[in-house]
Amino acid sequence: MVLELERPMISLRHVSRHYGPIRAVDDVTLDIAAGEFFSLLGPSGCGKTTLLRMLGGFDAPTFGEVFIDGKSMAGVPANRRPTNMVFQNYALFPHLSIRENVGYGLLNRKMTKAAVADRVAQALEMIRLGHLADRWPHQLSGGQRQRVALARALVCEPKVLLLDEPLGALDKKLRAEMQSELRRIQRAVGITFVLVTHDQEEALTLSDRIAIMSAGRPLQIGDPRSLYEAPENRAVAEFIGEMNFFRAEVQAVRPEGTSVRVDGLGDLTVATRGTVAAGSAVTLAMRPEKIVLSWERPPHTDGMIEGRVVSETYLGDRCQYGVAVANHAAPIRVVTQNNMPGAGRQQDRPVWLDYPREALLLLTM
Amino acid sequence: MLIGEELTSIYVEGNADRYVGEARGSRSRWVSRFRNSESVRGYLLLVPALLVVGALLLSPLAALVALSFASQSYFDIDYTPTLTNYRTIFAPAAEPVYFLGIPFYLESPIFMVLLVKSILMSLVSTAAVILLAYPMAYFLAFQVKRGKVIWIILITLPFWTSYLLRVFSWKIILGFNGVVNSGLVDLGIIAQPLDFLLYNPTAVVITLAHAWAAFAILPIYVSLEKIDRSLFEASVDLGDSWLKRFLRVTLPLSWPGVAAAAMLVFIPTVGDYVTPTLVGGREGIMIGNIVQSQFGKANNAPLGAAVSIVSMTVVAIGVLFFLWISGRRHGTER
Ligand SMILES: Nc1ncnc2c1ncn2[C@@H]1O[C@H](COP(=O)(O)OP(=O)(O)OP(=O)(O)O)[C@@H](O)[C@H]1O
Ligand SMILES: [Mg+2]
Repeated sequence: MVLELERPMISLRHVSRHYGPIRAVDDVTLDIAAGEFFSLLGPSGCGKTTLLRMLGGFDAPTFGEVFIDGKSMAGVPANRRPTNMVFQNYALFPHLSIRENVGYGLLNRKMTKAAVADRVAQALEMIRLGHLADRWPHQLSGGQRQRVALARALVCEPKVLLLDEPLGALDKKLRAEMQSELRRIQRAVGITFVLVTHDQEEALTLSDRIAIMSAGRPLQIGDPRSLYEAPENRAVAEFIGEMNFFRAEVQAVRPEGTSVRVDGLGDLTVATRGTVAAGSAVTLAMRPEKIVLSWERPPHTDGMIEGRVVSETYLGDRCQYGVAVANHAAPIRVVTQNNMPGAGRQQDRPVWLDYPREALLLLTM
Repeated sequence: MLIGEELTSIYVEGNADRYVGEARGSRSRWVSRFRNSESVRGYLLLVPALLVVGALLLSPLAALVALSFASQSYFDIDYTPTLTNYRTIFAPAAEPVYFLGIPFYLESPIFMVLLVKSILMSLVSTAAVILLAYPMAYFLAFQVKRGKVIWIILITLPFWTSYLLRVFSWKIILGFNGVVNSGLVDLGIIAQPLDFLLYNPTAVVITLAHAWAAFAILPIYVSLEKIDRSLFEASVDLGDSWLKRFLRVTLPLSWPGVAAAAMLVFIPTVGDYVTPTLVGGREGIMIGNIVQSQFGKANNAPLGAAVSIVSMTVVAIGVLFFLWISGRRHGTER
């Protein structure tokens, strides 16, 4: 899917990067708008870093072309691109103080010493580390180093900021803190951010749009909500969040929806997406948290699924149950909030599952 | 809470042996403290090395110092402490003797002049070695992807032959009928062999630089190899050209290796007398030659000892100053 953007900051046109027989990045075409917070999300080895390095100028496409702010980047070395990078290991210069690290890129500009000092002080203020300006990188904590790396890249006022798993080395709590910090700074400076991550929660909370990558190409590009609520194929549905999958066969395609026969659920009508032909095999997908679980037999059980609890996983704020259902091989996963004291907590109990019909997604791939 | 109790019990268990240890008698406590002390163990491990250093380094040095305060009376050495030798070296004179424009107000300026000259020649050799070794180390660290060990072996290959042979080979290369001269004559570039190639300070510097190059390559190579590669990318990302990156990142971060290499070459070459003897001729003599002659033909070992003590002291002070200068920044950092 290529979104037609008014004036994209970054355009990739059929970009590939091959390492011998390996296609690290395989024919990627996408646009990123100015001021957008764009994330590349995908499993390890899917080519995220390679793609980012081609934007930064550390790697050149085997085929295709990269445009930044309307200009072709072919043959433009990293030091002459309007991009800056935040490296995964921060890459702070150990022989320079924090102040000198942050001011590093500005010394390559035609600026007076005073102007550089000013900008550095401002940047240190922005990351709230003004008091540590004269320390050395090895004297900072991981989160502080992270922020220095961010400031060092941002003082150069690039058009595009590239971040390669910048929060990967931080613990969960600090990561959450840095995420909101990142978001705040991105809003404040309005620079286009391209973030590489394999943490889906991070991508969902931070991004305007996300590209889910697999084997060198984006599977789907969209805003967090549409990716989560309306994945286009099974790989995306599987990658983001938890999902129950049902095998189904298309009975008929009508204007009001597609009627399908689903293993374990019976005959249903769901919204049509894409092109399906009667008689073809499809997959239905349903998020575990969209299912309503009742421990007592409800007055009306029409359209509900009856099953038995076979597993229970305590998640703190939530509980995940596996519910075995007749005519369906894998137990259906159901997630409930832990806000009802004394509910269930027994294996083998019969339960009734209800689900809104809109929660069912028809996937053709 | 269960988890809390578990933690507490683990904590108590962890401390248990310390309490038990304290409950035992004070003697065994001292023994165990002695055994467990990192520094004591470290010094114990160092004992053999310290003995070797003491026997092979400190005692000859002490003997040399003692000798420098003795005096020569014909064929015997008189060990009555005296400052005669140092007076000989530093005896002032009213009229200066100039060497390279530097005035020496000394009665017998030969010692200090030769020391200054040796230091200068050594500095030039060291600079030449570093300039020669750095590109090789750089190439080895960044360009060679496979088979680095083979490259290192190739680089150190000349050093499998004796130092003397290496110096002699330069005699063959630079000599009147040597490789350079016969080559140039055969090519018709010159009619007569050049006689200024050998037996002068330049020949000494060239020979020293070649002879010590491999010692400089390795420390520089190690320090370059240690630099985190992402720092190079960061520097380019922040706008540096190759040259700027080299000056702002590569060179400062490999400075410890450069300093080590400089020490490794400078210190031994100041006192070298083999190379000047073989290729230096009359003009190329260094302080080592004077020391050697005092112990030999001139037959004044105490004076020779005093000259070497003076030269050692001057070199040591210079080296310490250099280390202080180049370590100042890094001292605050580490
Ligand atoms: N220099 C290289 N030479 C050969 N293959 C490479 C090289 N760099 C990357 N690859 C291959 O390209 C593919 C994509 O690598 P890349 O580093 O982009 O993955 P990634 O998505 O960033 O993964 P991760 O999340 O683990 O960092 C991998 O299969 C990798 O083995
Ligand atoms: Mg990566």
